[in-house]
Amino acid sequence: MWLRGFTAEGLNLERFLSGAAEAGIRLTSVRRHGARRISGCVGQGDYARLAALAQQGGWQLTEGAQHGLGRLLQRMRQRWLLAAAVVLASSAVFAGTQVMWRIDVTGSGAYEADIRQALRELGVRAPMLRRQVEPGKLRDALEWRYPRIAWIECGWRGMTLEVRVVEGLLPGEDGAAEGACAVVAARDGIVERIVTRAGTPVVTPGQLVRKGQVLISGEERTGGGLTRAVAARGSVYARVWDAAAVQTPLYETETVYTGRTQETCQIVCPWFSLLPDAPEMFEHRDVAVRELPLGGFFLPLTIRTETRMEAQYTSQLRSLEALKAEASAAALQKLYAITGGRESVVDNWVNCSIIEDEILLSVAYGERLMDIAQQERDSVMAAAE
Amino acid sequence: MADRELFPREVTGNVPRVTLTGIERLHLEQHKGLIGYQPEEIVFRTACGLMRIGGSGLRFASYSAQEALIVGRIGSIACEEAGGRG
Repeated sequence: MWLRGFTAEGLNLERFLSGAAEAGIRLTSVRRHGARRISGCVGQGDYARLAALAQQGGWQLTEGAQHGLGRLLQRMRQRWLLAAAVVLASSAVFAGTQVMWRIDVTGSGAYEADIRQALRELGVRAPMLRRQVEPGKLRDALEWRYPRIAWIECGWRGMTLEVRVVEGLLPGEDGAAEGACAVVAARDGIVERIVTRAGTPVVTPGQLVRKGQVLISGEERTGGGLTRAVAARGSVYARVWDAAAVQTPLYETETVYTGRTQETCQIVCPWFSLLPDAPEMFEHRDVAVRELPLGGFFLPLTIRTETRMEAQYTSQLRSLEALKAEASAAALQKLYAITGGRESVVDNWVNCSIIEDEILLSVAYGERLMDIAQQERDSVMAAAE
Repeated sequence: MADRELFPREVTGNVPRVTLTGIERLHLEQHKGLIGYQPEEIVFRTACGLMRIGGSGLRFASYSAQEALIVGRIGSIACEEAGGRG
């Protein structure tokens, strides 16, 4: 690593190289420059022996520049400020990695501020030395302080202390703190399946339930035959029915033209007519109107041509089959709007009946399977609204 | 005789060993001295006679009493028995 360059001049330089080799001197990068000169590198410690050999043999040895590590150190000595800056920067980076610069609390939701306060009380605050922070002890302290939290992890992510929190959902939380409640039916139905997460179910599959009826009571048995109040939770799937009604008149009004017409022509502006209106000839009529702007005048004038066609209106009884089909489709359309689409409807049918001899009443029924469970306090609030 | 049966010949016979890597690197072991050195030809004395290494731009990457590492463009390697060309 510590090499010194040299240049040897003279005759029979092969003997110089052989002599150096026999003396145990190792030479590197030996290169010939002409008939009487060679250059190379020798270890710093062997240079003196090489110089003695050259003197003994009559060769002229010239010392060259340093190579290897020695050259690097020589350059560093000339640029000592640069070397000092490199050392200082490296030291600063290393020192920086020994410090905790940030604390990240994730997944804690509303607990974040409280957890940060707890860390401060435990003597952990950024920035501080990493070796003064013990993540394992921090985790234990936080778990003891927050027993309702399901899981806490404290660890390092680079120079950041990461505290990850997972909040647990405890089924059947103690009703003494928040108030016991039951699960009631949000609507009428026939129970198909019950999934109880907290409380005690009081209905069975196949049972008919009414809106507001208790499905899962807010009580649970504990050891020794005692019961405790809980906030009941669960899902109760039941067959429910929805209905949608549509009324359609049996008679439709039909217009028949007699063939008699009357044509009138008017010049009108947005506020009035310039000519008087022609008198009406027909009791019942339809009117076809054509308007053309009156050209050549820079005024808002229009020529209005009316064709009045005498008409007679008659009531026709519509085909009952066609009317039922039309009314049924309309009723089903309305039903799907109530149920939120036909995909949730497992069965549907339409009943038609005539009321007051003039109106066809079509009622569409749809059967669905849905969760009718509702917490009692939610149902009370919904009723209050 | 017994040595020759138990040990490799290049260890007991003091013969030169040449390792040529490509045409730009030659490693010579167990030479007996440098006879001539020019960028076009290097001549070594060996136990087998004279070894001539020809080429262009030849130089020693390393040279010691036991071995020499020659780099450059190596064109030929020739051996002459002691006492005349072979």
